[in-house]
Amino acid sequence: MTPFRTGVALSLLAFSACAIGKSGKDLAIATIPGGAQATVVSRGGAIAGELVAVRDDGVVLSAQKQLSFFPFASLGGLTIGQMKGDYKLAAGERPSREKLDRLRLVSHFPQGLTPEVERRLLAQLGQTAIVTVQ
Amino acid sequence: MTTMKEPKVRLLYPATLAAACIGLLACVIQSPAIRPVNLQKPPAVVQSPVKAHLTDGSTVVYPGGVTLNGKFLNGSGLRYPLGSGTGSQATSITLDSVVGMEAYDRRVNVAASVAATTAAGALTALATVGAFVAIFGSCPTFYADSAGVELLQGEGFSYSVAPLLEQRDVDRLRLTPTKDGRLTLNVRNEALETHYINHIEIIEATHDQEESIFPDQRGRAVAVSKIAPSHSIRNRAGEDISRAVRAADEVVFSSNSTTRQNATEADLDDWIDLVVPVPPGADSIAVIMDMRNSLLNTVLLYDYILGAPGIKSLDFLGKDLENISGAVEMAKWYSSHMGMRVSVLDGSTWRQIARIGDSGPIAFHQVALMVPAVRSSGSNVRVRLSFVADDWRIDAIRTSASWRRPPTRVIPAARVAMGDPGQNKAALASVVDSDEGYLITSPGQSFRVEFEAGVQASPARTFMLASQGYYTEWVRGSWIKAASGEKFVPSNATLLKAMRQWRVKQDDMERHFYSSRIAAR
Repeated sequence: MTPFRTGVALSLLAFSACAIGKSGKDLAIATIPGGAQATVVSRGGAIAGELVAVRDDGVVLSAQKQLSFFPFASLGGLTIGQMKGDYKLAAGERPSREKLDRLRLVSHFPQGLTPEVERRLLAQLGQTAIVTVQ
Repeated sequence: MTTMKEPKVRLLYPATLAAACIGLLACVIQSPAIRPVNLQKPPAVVQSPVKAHLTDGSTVVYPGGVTLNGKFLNGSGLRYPLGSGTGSQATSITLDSVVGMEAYDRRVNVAASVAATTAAGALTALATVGAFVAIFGSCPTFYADSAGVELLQGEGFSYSVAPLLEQRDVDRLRLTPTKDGRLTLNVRNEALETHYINHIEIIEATHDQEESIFPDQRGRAVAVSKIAPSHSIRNRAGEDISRAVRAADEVVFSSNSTTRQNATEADLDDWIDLVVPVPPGADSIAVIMDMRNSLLNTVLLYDYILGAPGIKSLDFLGKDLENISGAVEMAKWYSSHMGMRVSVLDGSTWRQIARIGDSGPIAFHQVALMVPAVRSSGSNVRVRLSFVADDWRIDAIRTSASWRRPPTRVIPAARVAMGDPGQNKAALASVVDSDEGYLITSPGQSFRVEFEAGVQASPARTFMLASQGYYTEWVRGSWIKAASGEKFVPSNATLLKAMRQWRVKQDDMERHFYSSRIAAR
């Protein structure tokens, strides 16, 4: 065994019955009612907010006290806090069905916004409609 | 039948996993996994954090998981109204008000976990534990059409009853391609199990007409010629069993009743001793076996591992075996008892040189055990095959010192035909590679998988099927009703109880098991 491997083995001994890496319960969204923190890049720059819902053609974010829709077609990128590349979108990327499902599961409303829930959310924010950001 | 993506679980060297159990220094390499909870068939208990989304837009967070009690979700939860960050206690929620739930679980990187665990002090176990092949039950069955009749060709990844026990099996096929070079297999789920099929491929070996191809104990192709019965072959009681194992026919070896009755906690084994004359210069011999398991394993699983604990067996399958240390503990015990251990007489000592795993109770499995030609008396090699008494049904044992490694090529799956053609493409993608994609089948389901073997007149070709995956056993209502509540403890005492139980119920069980396989559609 090389010294490096010996070192690794010895350090692992200190981690008997250890767990390396995060589990789902370590994610912030596991214990809060809202969706994950998302950062989108649009023409106006990067915007961070709560991922409220994921539609087939874009994402709905609650950011800067406003409910906004960011179409994938004009998105300069999307990242999700605490999550790795599986949850990232590159500029102009059309997410696969699988990736859409994955993103939905970290949003506030994985099942989507019903008209009633959308209406009440907008009312809370003083909006009449979701703002589309190109 | 569905396809899904699951954590990559690949155990091509399961001994590594078994080795990891020494000292139980389990290091789990994990990453977050967020899974939707199926509201149509919700699990009874979810132990990881869960979020439930209600019809009124509010969200209930259960950091410690939930229990489904009839139509109610019970747990220590906080209910947050729409748009509010302040929650109130919500201990019981009616399932009718829930539109969606997700669980915050973990995804285990098995290969990395095993590597880490092994590094943490278990390296010495590698030599002693031997090849681990997983545990119990039944498995997917593979059939091929022969003149309008479907013939059983093999059973895949037998006894891999949990994701951590996923394994790869290699079975010799008895089929020839169609005139245009196609091979078609019908894959069936004929038991009360859910099968998770990761990978299916064909391995083609080309060889001379007088050679026969078999997988060896590691699944590699061996071309064998000049196959002959063993010079002498006797069971533990000293009886000559050469007639029973001379050829693959109707006469099958099973353990002598006296040996079965004499089994004790300290000595559970039967064995078969072979004397094989070996020509000068030969450095190893092939012992060619045609065999399947008895239902002893199945008794152990049904009556003791899952049956006796009853409802608690759900914990065993869902929690203990999803846990590295739980799985390796079971693996260590299993690999030291079950399967078949192959030894050669080296001087005056039997030296174990291989272990082969159980191959399942349905299809006879052919394997060429490659054994070093250690001469113990003159030009003879003495080989001992040891196993728990009555664990095996052996149709043929023959030997040869004339063998070679033939050229092989892999033929990937070209097409999959599901009951619903709309699933064909996704199903093919799930089984074509050993990756994170699984094709999932339920009892009674089947599909066809097709391979392009091409047209070739000579040399001769033999095909082997490699399949990789795992399955989960359905816990029967009758097990829960009849449960003693006794937790399964891997031990010789439990195995001896299973052997005695097996002896009592053998006739009934064989009749019932082989007639109750669920007809696939």
